[in-house]
Amino acid sequence: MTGVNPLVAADGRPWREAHSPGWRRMLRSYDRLAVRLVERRPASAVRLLGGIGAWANAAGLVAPRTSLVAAVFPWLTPRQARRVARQAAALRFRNRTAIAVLHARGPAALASWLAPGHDAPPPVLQASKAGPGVVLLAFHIGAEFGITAALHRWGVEPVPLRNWSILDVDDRARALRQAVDDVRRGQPVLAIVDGPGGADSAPVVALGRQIVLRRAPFMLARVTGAPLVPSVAQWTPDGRIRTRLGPPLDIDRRGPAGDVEAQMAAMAASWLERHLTACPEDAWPYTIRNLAGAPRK
Amino acid sequence: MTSGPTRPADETIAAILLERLPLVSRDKPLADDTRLGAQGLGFDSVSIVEIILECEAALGIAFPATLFDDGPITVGRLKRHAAEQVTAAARA
Repeated sequence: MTGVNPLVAADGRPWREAHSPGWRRMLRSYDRLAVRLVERRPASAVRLLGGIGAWANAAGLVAPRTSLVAAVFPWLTPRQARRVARQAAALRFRNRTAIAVLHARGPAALASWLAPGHDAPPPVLQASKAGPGVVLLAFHIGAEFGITAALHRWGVEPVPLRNWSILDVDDRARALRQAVDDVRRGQPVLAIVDGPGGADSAPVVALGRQIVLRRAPFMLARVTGAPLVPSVAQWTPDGRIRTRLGPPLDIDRRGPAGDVEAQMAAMAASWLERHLTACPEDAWPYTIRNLAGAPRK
Repeated sequence: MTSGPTRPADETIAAILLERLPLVSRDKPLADDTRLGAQGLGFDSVSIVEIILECEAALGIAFPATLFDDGPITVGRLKRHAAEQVTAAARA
């Protein structure tokens, strides 16, 4: 969670961790319990934990509020909005569990949760072996950490543009400079484009809201010529994870750098809008809150 | 004061930095200990990397990520690195 809305134009305030120490202790206890719970029967345990999240939301104990969902997805009926709110809460519990497993047991453990159909990497990754790497764009939607698991299954170790929000500008610059070399060598880079901190893209529109995305992935794709590949992982009804990478955004790379990057950001925002319009249940509470707080456009 | 084959590199780096600064800041000299980022010229991380890549293209030398290993990037570190690389290339 963040004290600053990362999807609106930065107001100069530094990103900070908003959790209280007591809340963080509770989360760590949940992580330890969840890791043990899912070890034997991951799919069943994930469904159970998601169900707890949905119940907690229905009981008003866990975000998001239905009114917030309705504000972001105004075409939903009240009943549909309630359902999306419960699913967002379920997502929160499931994803928290996935993160805990990833940190405690590594990507191989999370890869065991993948749905059938992940035996071979998708064409977009196979093509990258012959030229520059790819810049995989990810958002705080769905089962985001499943992308890391799938890449691990395919024997691809992506370079994270940065693992966590790094507050120091020089640390971020170092990571980005290294990523330029890595992509030029054919390595894929995994970049979360709707997180906090760092340089902003040009303002773009998604779901009728004016937002900004992180500029670094677009600059990286521009200077290296690498394709920009939107990526998403989703929870299946039976508690597994399926992923979809690509197709690459169709970018016209002619023209001034600023225009090219603005086009990239606009297309990424359009992709996000299309996905959330089709699958509103993939929106994280974090994403719903940030979109609801963004100015209408 | 720099002299010999490193001067053009110094001037190139200074020109690249000055072009990105607001007009009101361009008349101030760039001291070697001036940071490119916070508490210095105030460039964000993406701009810093763009500056570095521009220096690479203009000077034909690499400015790798390891340049950041000794702390915040400064004007002086860019110049010293360029001087080392240009001198090494001249000897080769």
